Amino acid sequence: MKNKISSFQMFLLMFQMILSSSVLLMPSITTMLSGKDMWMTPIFSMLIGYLTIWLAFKLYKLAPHGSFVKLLESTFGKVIGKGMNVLFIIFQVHIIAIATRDYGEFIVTNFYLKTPVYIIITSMLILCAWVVSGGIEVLARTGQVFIPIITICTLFIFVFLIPELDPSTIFPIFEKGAAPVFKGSVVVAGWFCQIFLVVYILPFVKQEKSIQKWGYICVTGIGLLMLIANITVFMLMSESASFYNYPVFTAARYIAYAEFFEHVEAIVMMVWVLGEFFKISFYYFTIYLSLSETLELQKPVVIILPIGLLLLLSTFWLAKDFQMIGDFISKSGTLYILTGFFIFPLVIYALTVIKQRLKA
Amino acid sequence: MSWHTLITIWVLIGGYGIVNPSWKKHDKKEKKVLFSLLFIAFVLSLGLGLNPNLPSLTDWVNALYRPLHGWLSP
Repeated sequence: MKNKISSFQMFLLMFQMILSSSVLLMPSITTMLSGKDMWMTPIFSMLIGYLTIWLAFKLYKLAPHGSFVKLLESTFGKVIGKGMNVLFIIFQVHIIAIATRDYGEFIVTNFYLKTPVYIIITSMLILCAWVVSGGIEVLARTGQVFIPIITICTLFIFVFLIPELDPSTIFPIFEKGAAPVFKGSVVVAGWFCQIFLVVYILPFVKQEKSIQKWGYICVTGIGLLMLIANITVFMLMSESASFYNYPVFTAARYIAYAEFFEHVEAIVMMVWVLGEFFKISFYYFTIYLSLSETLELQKPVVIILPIGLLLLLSTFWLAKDFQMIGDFISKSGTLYILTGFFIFPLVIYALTVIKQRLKA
Repeated sequence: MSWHTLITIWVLIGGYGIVNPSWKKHDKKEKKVLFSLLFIAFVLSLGLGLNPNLPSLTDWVNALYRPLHGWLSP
């Protein structure tokens, strides 16, 4: 686990980890909450993204050897610190189990109608386990190959939709005041704050000086792509976007040129599968890393498969069907994720700084 | 999850452990962690086999955040 990555590779991994599910799911939820002003929500949520990057970097600088796991142990003592680490691992398992089930449900309901969902999820987890066993460098290099392709394909989908768009649908702006935009922004902030997981890979980044710069570029890039996705979906579907589970997927079906260039939704599937592969692999890696550091294992590679098995079973235990996932994301999920990935690290940071000042 | 699926998963895991015995080379502590994780997974699979609608962490989180649900509704 001693392999190193560049800050650009860190940027690519973070970029895809946040964008993978958000582009497909977010427009529906933000339309439901913010109506005509849904396109603005990523702009306000980016603030949480910048703050999370700042917080992750500060915690990395405070931690012994840059390890967040060791920081909790040094601040709260070994027993409480280990307990907090285990709780944070369970939290991560919970979030990724829901994301994995969502991926499986999307594939089964739209493409592989007769394939059992556990076959789709198991295949993905086996692939992710293989990558995780190679370490962060393998994951980062895989990202270097595929993430630019995913991003270009996503942008192409939006470019092909331009002739179908009606810009008048987004007017009037702030029709119902600022409250609906705020509600939508809170949900999008739930995606942005997941960038906190970068704290686990910061010790592997070679160029420490450029970490923050690439982190902020990453948040800006994610925000811009979310903005493009939201504007495109709303100008195409207007407020009916909230009736679809995956509006970008439905939007891709509108693309048809010269009676032969159509069925672009297959590209959406490719983008979704590759994107989720990076997201699941990244969470899998952080769970593996934090568990092996918490339990102080010398050769932790042996626990990769049992973690995968636990993730597989958790997807069926924690997220029973798509209805439950949608309900969870739009209600409790957002606040739960914000608590875990933003408020919890913020409290840890405050307590660590206070403790260090009292010591000094 | 059906019993059929769960049994298939465990047979595959057992088969993999026999075909690839590299786990035997690890020290005692790592083996303890390996079998503890497998035990947790086994208990979870038993629970899911006996009751597919086993109360989950998601239900508890939903109950915990219920007072705030209205805050994020349209």
